Amino acid sequence: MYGMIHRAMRNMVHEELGEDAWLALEQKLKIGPMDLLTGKVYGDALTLGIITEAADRLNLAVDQCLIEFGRYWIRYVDQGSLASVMNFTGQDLASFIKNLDRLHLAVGAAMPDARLPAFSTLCNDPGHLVVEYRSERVGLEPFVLGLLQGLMERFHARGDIEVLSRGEKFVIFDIRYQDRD
Amino acid sequence: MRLTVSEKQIGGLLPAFLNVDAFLNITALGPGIARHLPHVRIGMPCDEAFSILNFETAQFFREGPEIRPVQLISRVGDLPLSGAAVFHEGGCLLAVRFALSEKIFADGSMDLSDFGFADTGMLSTMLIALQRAMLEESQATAIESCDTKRNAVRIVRNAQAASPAIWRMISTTCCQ
Ligand code: HEM
Repeated sequence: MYGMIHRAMRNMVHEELGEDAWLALEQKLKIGPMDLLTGKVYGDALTLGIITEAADRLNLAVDQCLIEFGRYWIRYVDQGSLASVMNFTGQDLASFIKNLDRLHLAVGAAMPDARLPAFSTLCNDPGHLVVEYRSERVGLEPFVLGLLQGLMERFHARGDIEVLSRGEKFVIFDIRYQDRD
Repeated sequence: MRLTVSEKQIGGLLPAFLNVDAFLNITALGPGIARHLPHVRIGMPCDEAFSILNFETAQFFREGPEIRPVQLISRVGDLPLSGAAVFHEGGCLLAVRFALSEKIFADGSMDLSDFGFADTGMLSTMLIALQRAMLEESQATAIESCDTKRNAVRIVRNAQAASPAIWRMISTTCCQ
């Protein structure tokens, strides 16, 4: 994945455990600042290696760490110049999710080697969304769950997310929520 | 070839479109207009809701090419729209889009749903913001590696300065 993702992982470990924990992780994986370059693509094995080591240090199972990283990613991209991109994507949970592919279309133009996911809204009723996630990658279901939780937090919504079904390349999420007003 | 496209489909491509009849009354409008200019209604004279910048209203339907550039500004809210006037038997399709400024992009007053799927202006504005973010991250990386280098140089210098004292300590400890 692009180094932007690795930088976000580093920031999460920094915030949770401090710089020394990250430096120890770098030492264990024999990586350094050259493995965190925003605009460079790294093998997914390295990305997974970082997440696995981070999980170990945070005392979490890898899947739980992926959920936490998903939630963290939403806070991470809500800062600096990316905040305007996030704000422009949608002003409520349903329209934001509906526009996710258009957001990633722009990401793909800026980062041409990205292998981006596809999201489609299969049902959009008040307080109820059914969202299909499709990807070339496997094993990112917990990450997407964390992202969706992060989006609910971002839009001050409360509710539950369940998996309705999953296949080799897709997962269908059922989101029932209430706007917290 | 003649294509039949529904109002909903036009709204997906051009959320801020308007259609007017031969008397310049609005007969259809896109979801973007309904969202941002809720006072604009079907049946309303178009020039009551918008000033049409590059047309004399009275000569709107004069002879000329079937497609001509058009610019509108909403009378309430001063929202600029631009695009093409597509003349047809029943009137004219104003195939316009909201002008996307840095301000509109940053202040959250509009979002992606207000722009069409193939809207290149919107895509390039997003692209610029993404590239700016990537540049900021690269600058942060450069500063970090400069700091790391500076720290390393400082450590070596301190070690060099301290080394006579350290050597003295080591040799006295070892020789005892
Ligand atoms: C400004 C905001 C965002 C940016 C810049 C961004 C950028 C990226 C990048 C660079 C990748 C890695 C692709 C690769 O290197 O192959 C990625 C992947 C991904 N993004 Fe986003 N993203 C953003 C927001 C979101 C949001 C809000 C979601 C919420 C659902 C999301 C869901 C995902 C998922 C699930 C992946 C994993 C790819 C896969 O499944 O194969 N992203 N994104």
